[in-house]
Amino acid sequence: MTHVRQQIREAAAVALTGLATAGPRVFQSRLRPLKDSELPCLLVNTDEEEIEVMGMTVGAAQERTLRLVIRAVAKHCASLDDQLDAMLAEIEAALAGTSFGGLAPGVVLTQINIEMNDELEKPVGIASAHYAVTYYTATGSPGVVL
Amino acid sequence: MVDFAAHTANIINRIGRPVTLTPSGGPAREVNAVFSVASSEAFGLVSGFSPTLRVLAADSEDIAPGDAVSVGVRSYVVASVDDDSLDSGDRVLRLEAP
Repeated sequence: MTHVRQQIREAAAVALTGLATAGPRVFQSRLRPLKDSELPCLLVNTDEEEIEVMGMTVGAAQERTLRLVIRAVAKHCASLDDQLDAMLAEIEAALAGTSFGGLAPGVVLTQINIEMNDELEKPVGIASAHYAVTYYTATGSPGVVL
Repeated sequence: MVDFAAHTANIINRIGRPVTLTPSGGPAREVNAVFSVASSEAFGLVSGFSPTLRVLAADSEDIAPGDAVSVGVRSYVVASVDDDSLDSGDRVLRLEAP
């Protein structure tokens, strides 16, 4: 049984693959450092999740709100902020109105963060788009959406 | 009193290598400097390197961020300058790839 979290993360990666700037460089839950040849890229992570049980019976429905974070990573000397903003625009357009194939009826962009670092041979920037993804499962059945 | 600047000059001239500094609006010139490149990461996520150049203060008084530096066949731009605040006689130029 594949947890719906994983299904959502994989669906997000599919939806984001092939965008104009990052192209095929989309990584899920990436831990190892990125090389120049892997940039610019998108990182897809499913982080914390809040769960509200809707009832007290066995198999009661759970309303789950998952934080999906898409990080656009770029390394550039000039116009780093422009490139990050362009990547954010591509992410937002790609995920606008999505339900990840019917998995999640609610997908809402809640926050954007920008970080920049100039300690390497070229400036590095990360633009993070945080989405609240709401989906429903039955208690004990996290792999099946209601 | 110890002349730290003289010691620094001895060290840089002994272990340094010729590099070319080009100040804004001025001609390029060759000086001795200690070039180092350390592997580094940004955000613990993006790998790269941090090139720096240790150069005598007397050789680099007119060098500022944005000026060009050549080390061998590689070209850099000065990103920032750590000034000689301890009378050690040198400055550290942090470099960026153009």
